[in-house]
Parts: sequence; C-alpha cells; structure tokens
Amino acid sequence: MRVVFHLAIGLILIMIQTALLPAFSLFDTMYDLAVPYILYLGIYCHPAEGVLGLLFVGLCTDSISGAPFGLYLTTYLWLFGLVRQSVRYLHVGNQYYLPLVAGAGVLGENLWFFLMFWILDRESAFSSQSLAQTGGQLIWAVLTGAPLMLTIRSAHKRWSNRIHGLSTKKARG
Amino acid sequence: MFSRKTMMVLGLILFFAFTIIFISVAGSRRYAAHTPGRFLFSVVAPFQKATSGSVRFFQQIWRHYFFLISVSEQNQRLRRELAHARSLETRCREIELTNDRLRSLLDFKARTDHEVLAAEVIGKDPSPWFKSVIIDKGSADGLRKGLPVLIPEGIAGVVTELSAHYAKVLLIIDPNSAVDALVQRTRARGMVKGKAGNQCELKYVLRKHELKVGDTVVSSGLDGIFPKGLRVGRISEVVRHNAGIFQEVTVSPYVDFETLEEVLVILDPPSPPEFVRPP
Repeated sequence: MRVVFHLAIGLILIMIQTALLPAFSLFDTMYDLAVPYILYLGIYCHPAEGVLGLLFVGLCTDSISGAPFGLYLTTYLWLFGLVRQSVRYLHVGNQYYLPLVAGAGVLGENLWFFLMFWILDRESAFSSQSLAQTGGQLIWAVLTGAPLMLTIRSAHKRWSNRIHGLSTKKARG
Repeated sequence: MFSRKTMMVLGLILFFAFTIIFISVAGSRRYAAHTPGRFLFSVVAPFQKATSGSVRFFQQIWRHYFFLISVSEQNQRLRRELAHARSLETRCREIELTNDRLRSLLDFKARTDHEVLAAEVIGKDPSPWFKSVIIDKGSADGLRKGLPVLIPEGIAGVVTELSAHYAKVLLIIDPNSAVDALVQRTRARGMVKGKAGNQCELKYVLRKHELKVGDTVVSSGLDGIFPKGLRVGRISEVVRHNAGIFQEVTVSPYVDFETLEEVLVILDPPSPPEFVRPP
C-alpha cells in the first residue's frame, strides 16, 4: 500500500509540473517539484521506500523530458544519497531548516545539470538567463519547498494511519 | 583489506564515473528507444492529457463567465477593431487577387501539399533546461520518429519518441535540436540550433555573407526532415568578430513556444537528398 502512495505522489507532482504550472506564466521559473519529494524520501523515509519512490519519479521524468535518458534518475540518486548522509550528521529534518534544505537541493540539482551540460559539450546552456533561471528557482524553492515537504509528510502519515486502521479492523473482524 | 572509509570513497568515485559514462552514452543516443521510458511515457501521458484538459476547461470558465464584467467595454473595443479589420481585409483581398494573377502569369508552381495531422499539446518538459512537449497523437495515428512538427507561423520541432497514442516533440529551441536552414534574402546557409531564452542561433554562417536584423530564416530541406522553405524565424542579432570564419547570428523563432497548444505533424516529408559519389 505504501507503493500506491508513492506512485500517486510521483504522478501528481509530474502532472502539476508538466500540465498545470505551464498554464500560468507566474511559474515560469518554478523549480523541479520532484526535488522536495526526493529530499522528503531521504530525510523521513526508509531507504527501500525512498529508492522505490525516486526510481518511479526519475524514470517517469526521464521518459517525458527532452533530457538524455537517465539524467533525472541519476540526479535524484545523488540527491537522495547526499541527504541520507546529511541526516546522519545534521538536523536536516528540523522543519526550520527545511527551506534551506529545499534551496540546497534545487541548487544541487542545477549544479549537477551544469556539470552534465559541460560534459555533454552544451556550452549554449551557460548564459545570464541560466543564472536568472537558477536564481528564480532558488527563491521559489526556499519559499515553497518546505511547505511542500510538510504537506507530503502529513499526507503520508494520514495514509499510513488509514491503512493501519483498516488492517487492524480486518484482523479483529 | 581496505577500511570502510576507503571502500566508501572508492564506491563514490566508481558511481560518479558510471554516472558520467551513462549520461554521455545516453546523450549521444538521443533517438534510441528505451523500453522502460516508453512504458512509463505511456503511463504518464494520459494523466497529463486529463490534467491539461481540466486546466483548459477551468480557464475557459474563467474567461467566459467571470470576466463578463468587462465584456461591455471589450465589446466597444472589438467593434472598433472589427471596423479596422474590415478595411484591412479589403486591402488584403486586393493584394491576394493581384498575387493570384501574378502567380498564374509567371506560371508559378503551386506549393506542394503535404499530408498533415493536427495534434494537441498535452504536456511540457518538466525542466526549464530542456525544451520538449508531449502531443496526443502517436504511432497508431501514423506518426514515426523524425517527422517534422509545425504550426502555420513556422517550424516547431521534430518527433523524437513515440508510444501508441502519444509522442514527444523536441522543439527547435532545445540546444539538442538542429535544422538545416538558409537566410531567405542572401541564401547564406547555416544550422539553426536552440539557445537559452527561447531563442535560436544560426551557426556556421560564413563572415562573407551580409546579414541584417529582420532577415527571414527558412528551412533548406537538406537535413531530410523539414521540407524546404518553411519559416523558422527572423534574425534578431548579428555579431561579426574580427577573427574567425563564422559570424554569430541570433534568430527569434516565429513560433511562440509559450503559447503552443496545437501543432501540425507532416506525415509525408520529402525523402532526404541523395548524395551521389563522384566516379
């Protein structure tokens, strides 16, 4: 049942990102909404659950994006691994730090992309507009990343409680 | 034999190297089919279509009902615009008739009609760094990889990935896209490639060609994808360095990719030109 939750969240985030937000010019510089989800998986979830979620979102995003296949999946893997390591030494799960964590995650994703563009010899990706785009994404991430992570956390808790309640009822009945 | 720390560092280095190699291989095989990608693409696309449809439905409601307050004012403005449009139409009709007469006079060959299929854009690329869209037509509708996609204003992109009912279109503003093109006025040839900020650049144009801002860039037909003479964009900037054999040319596409909603796919593009080897 946990799988269903992660598939649904992944799908909803992709729908918002690719079909809903493009309809409003306000969100032109919106960041990759999957990043807060990956951070959430790294901070709050069991590693196996996290890997499952990131595999689904990474493969889906890779399949609908114009990026080289595997770019998003590997980016998410790195982000997930880094967050899991950070959890050991820093209190990244503290909700006051979450805006910074979201900002760092989005910045990390963009830096990783720039590294890949450099390796793939896509010099045209580096311009003042790229900087403006990254800056815009950072602002959005700091403002909305934490609420998004907390919303996912709350939905995940409710989902787990409901499933737990149903299974207890079943066992009693 | 090795400490845990050393093993971890080695593991990280190996994973980093694997990532670089994997992305490099994937980047060089853009048109290769990926089974998991194709499957998930078919899974995600119907949801995208449903979400896009809902968003458009609510946008329509917003535009048609909640904006009724300003309709009266808009009506006045539209009446004025209609009067202006009518006079323009009369002039255009005159020009069209003149054009028709001149065409028949010069025995202009009629433009070749291609078989086209209309498709709706149902999703956009999740990342601002890549420029592609998903359309609601696929291999079941006769689409295949490499078919040109356009709208009446100009070239939009090329089909790069397919499922039965959906297709991914790489837009010409993506840095991975390339269109063999020429400047209509001077016939200078170059390669239109995507650039940041929804712009394109015309690469490999020799310095000897005198290009001007405002010149129209059209497809040359030599890439075997786009038919010759389709509008690509207009030159918005020309930089001629003192050194080097090429000039830097920026092209503003005629297509407004921000508002792209419907596209046409050419189903019978001309076959690529055959190059005959000299004996």
